Amino acid sequence: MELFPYKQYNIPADTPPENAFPVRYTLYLPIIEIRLRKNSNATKDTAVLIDSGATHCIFSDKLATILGIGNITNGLLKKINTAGSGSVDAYFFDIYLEIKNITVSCYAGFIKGSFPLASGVLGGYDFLNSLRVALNSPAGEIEIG
Amino acid sequence: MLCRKIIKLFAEIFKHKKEEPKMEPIDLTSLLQEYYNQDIHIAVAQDYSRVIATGITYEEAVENSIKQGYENPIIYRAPDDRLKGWI
Repeated sequence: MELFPYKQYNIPADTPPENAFPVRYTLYLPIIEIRLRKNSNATKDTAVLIDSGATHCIFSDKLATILGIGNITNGLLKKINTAGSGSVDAYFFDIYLEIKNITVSCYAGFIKGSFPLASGVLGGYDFLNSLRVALNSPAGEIEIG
Repeated sequence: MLCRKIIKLFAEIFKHKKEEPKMEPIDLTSLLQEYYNQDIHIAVAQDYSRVIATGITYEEAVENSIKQGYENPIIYRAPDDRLKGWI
């Protein structure tokens, strides 16, 4: 079993107050550091967000370059719906996720574009469906495996 | 009777008692806030004590970190407006 702390981010002081949230607040995010591996290519420890609402593991195409995936459009296409409206094109490849001492094979999608803070999201397919993941925000800890 | 009332009162108090944090969340604010809304990657020390280097690309952030003598940073993206909230 691996333990990770939650990550905390305070909304910047110069952010104009909003009607719904007139007082500044702090976000607590289940961000963990993992490595992605494909064959002999691997990323450094990279911040990714655990997203229990996401159906798949999706990463930025910036990581695909590190993994030796020249052009993500060589992967198999799946349209992924995003909240609100619209969809994004994700191209899927077989990779490995290294979560400290846990390694899991993952059929992961890569998209053109980026995420805030993290470089991808860990969702259901091949992550949450493969590993026991406990998000305990009040205790500030994330338990995996 | 009084004893039962006291037990019930304690049960109510503990039912609503917030769970004590077991792990201290890592505060990214001071580390990353100065890079707010910049389209860059940030190489952070493993103990989250400091930013080692930045780069426009992932590779550049890693290379700049290695140049600083730090081989294994954690790579973050800069925070942006979406951090106000997303679903």
